[in-house]
Amino acid sequence: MAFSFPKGVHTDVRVEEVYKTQIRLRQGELEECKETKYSAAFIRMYDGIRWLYASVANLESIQRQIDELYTLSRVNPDIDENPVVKKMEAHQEKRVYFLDEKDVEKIGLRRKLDLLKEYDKLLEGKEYLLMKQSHYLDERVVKSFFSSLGSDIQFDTQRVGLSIQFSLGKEEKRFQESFERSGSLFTDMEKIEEKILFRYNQASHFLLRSQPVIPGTYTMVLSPDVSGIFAHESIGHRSEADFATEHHHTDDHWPIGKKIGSHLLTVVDSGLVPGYGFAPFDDEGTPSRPTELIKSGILSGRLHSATTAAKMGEEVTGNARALDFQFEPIVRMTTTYVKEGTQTLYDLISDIDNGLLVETLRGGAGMNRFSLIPSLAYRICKGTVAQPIRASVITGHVFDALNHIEGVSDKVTLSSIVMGGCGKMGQKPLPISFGGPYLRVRGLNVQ
Amino acid sequence: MRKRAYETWESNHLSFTINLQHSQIESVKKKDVQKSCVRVYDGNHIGIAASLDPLTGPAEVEKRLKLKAEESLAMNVPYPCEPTASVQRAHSHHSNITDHEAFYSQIQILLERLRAHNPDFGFTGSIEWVIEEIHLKNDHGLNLHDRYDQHSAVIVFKKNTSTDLFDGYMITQGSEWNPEVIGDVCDQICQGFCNPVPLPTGKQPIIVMTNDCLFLSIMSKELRAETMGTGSSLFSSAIGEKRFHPDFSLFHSRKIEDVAMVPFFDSEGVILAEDRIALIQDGCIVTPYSDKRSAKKYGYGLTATAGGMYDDIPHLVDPFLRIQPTAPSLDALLEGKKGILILGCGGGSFTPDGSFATPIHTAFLHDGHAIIGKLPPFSIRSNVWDMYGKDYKGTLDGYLHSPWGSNPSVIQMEVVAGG
Repeated sequence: MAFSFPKGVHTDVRVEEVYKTQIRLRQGELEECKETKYSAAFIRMYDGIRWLYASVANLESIQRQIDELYTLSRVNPDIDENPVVKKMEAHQEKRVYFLDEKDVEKIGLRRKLDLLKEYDKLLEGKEYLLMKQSHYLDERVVKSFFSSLGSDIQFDTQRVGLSIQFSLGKEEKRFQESFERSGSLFTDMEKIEEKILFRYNQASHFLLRSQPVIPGTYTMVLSPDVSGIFAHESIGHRSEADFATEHHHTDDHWPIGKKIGSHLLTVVDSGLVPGYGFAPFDDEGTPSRPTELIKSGILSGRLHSATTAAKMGEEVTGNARALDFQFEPIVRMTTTYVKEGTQTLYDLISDIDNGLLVETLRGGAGMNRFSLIPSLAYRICKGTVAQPIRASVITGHVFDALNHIEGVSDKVTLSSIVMGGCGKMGQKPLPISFGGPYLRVRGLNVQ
Repeated sequence: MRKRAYETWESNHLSFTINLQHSQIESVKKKDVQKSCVRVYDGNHIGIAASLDPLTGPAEVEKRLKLKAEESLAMNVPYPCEPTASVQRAHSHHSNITDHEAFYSQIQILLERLRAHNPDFGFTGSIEWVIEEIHLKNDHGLNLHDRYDQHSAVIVFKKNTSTDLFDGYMITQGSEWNPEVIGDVCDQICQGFCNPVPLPTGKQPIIVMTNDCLFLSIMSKELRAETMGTGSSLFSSAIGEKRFHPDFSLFHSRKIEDVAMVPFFDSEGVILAEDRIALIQDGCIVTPYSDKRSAKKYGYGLTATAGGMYDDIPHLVDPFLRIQPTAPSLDALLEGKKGILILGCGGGSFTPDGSFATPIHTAFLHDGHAIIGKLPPFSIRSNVWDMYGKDYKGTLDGYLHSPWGSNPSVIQMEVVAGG
């Protein structure tokens, strides 16, 4: 593709070729089974004062859209000296990874459907099962990016996911849980029967044995999933530099170099980790760079777009991402995780007299007072995982919790939300990954 | 072979969005996207094919999609329901927004006002004008067409000295665009922010915007047809029973006065008498909400709650819930007491047994007429049976401050400091 870029403005074009599959079984019956393919584009123009955007599904109209946006812009002969434009990078590169047998489009709808049916059948006739729903999703996006600076990039991303959601009941008791598996390749979804059954058995046990939590303040051990969500909500969003540029007193609260948490805590964001957060380039054509957000408890880095990097006098990190062709890139996370420590899970639990182990969540939010909504959670009693407990919400103050991390286990597990993603400024659900090791944190509230 | 039925669904979405950053216009976005879909029914199955192109025109999109929809019938997706037949209705509703330039200028004026009146705050978000047209028709006499244009504004605000991600937000949607009212609401919120007041604890009247999805989320979850039909719902054994307050009636509505940006028909072409249906009436659970497949499977009526993306097979989606108003004024609902107006919750939830708790990070003391001052963070607790039962005080007929605050409800809940 070739475009005529007008003078006096910065222009870039992002073309997306999308293939996706969605299969859904509800109560064992096929409810949806489709493949979708389309191409579309998003055009940006910057005159030094405002950004102008247009999105089109007809690729032949891209040049016309460029010309129309130009009529709305204010031509700036010094646009190349604009600080934001100077932060933009120009690359001519192709990084296409998911070809041939790795390409989900080559797998075939029938094989995907058969796999989902096989897993769905595992729960057939299970005791306490009231309702189940199984989903298979995949998506491969090939992006081509061109800019008036000379960028000519092509790269692809791919994600594959399975989600099996089930409701259990016995007499008046009810419980809902799910099993999710996410990855980049279809083969990541194979041979997981044991894991599905294990989750179901956990949920059954929870249904039968759980008791309401005694509200209070506890030392808690958070699973990798929970640690990851905590890192994403409470650290990741604060590290997005558009948050920092809004905050006139950032230096008082989230400045680089400040000790913000325990020395055991290191948090990284990287677009180069395989999975839902994989993005070799961002949607401004910047190559993804791993960023250490927190290193040994000290704020070390922020996530940037060209705009935020220019405002703060820092470097771009490849974190300007858009949900799809209808949206502009804004600062977003990719894969955000807590790095591993040196202790085992046993080390973290064994000396807790009265605490909680939180294995899975139903949601959470990351304000200064963060909240985590537990699903599978257990009492820790005299160093042993004991009774399952039901709780509405776990809360804490972010700055306290970061400093109250007492232990970090030695293995990182990453995952994603298959049936959702991250939401920000109306762009939801953006595929991201999160994770970590088990974390032990004292002083969290539960009710 | 049973006779085929063919159906087309087309949408045209035009939008003009102004993004705000640090109380300034940061960008302008225009979008013009057409989506179309052809469905084929054979009486037992459905096939579907879709495109980001209009159906008519030189590309012969409809012909191509029809062939692809026929091919997709081979996937044997069960759909043992008849397409909606012999229903024709067209509706066209226009807002008071006239053109892009005027819209843009009004937003510039609004921002100047916000900056001048509230220099200690930053405002970020987006304000957009959307024009949408949807057309669903088939060869069994169905022909439904809706055209509406509305604005949608999400304004997130943060005090300059705040350490939080944001301090609150206001959302407004609808066909009545009035930037003066948006400015008034933002001013009131910001002024209230600057006046900290002590937190009353114990059981308090809480003013909630029930179009905030959290407070009615349990209704969306538990009144779903398959949840009720499989016995998984908290309410499964309660259909026909008066389990809630006699003043509490809950509707699924597709009326333009109640809900923004939705057509009067669902994606299966089902329409409702008066464009709304009671799910709970006078405290009594009347019906779950359904799509054609779940209605047929579990023996429920149709409630016009089928939806999905343009290329989806129509399926059951969350309803657009509205509580029937019960009182003409907020101070009538507060009965002379001061209430707690919730502006921002911190991610709480209902448990499977109906218990509820959520941290509240932005809330104000309200005297029934105006915001008095800002409360410190706290938590609230209750359960679904009490919230919409003995602790339900009523719902305002009208809106609080702006169309954003449509029909707020007053519910007594336990307030816990800190939390």
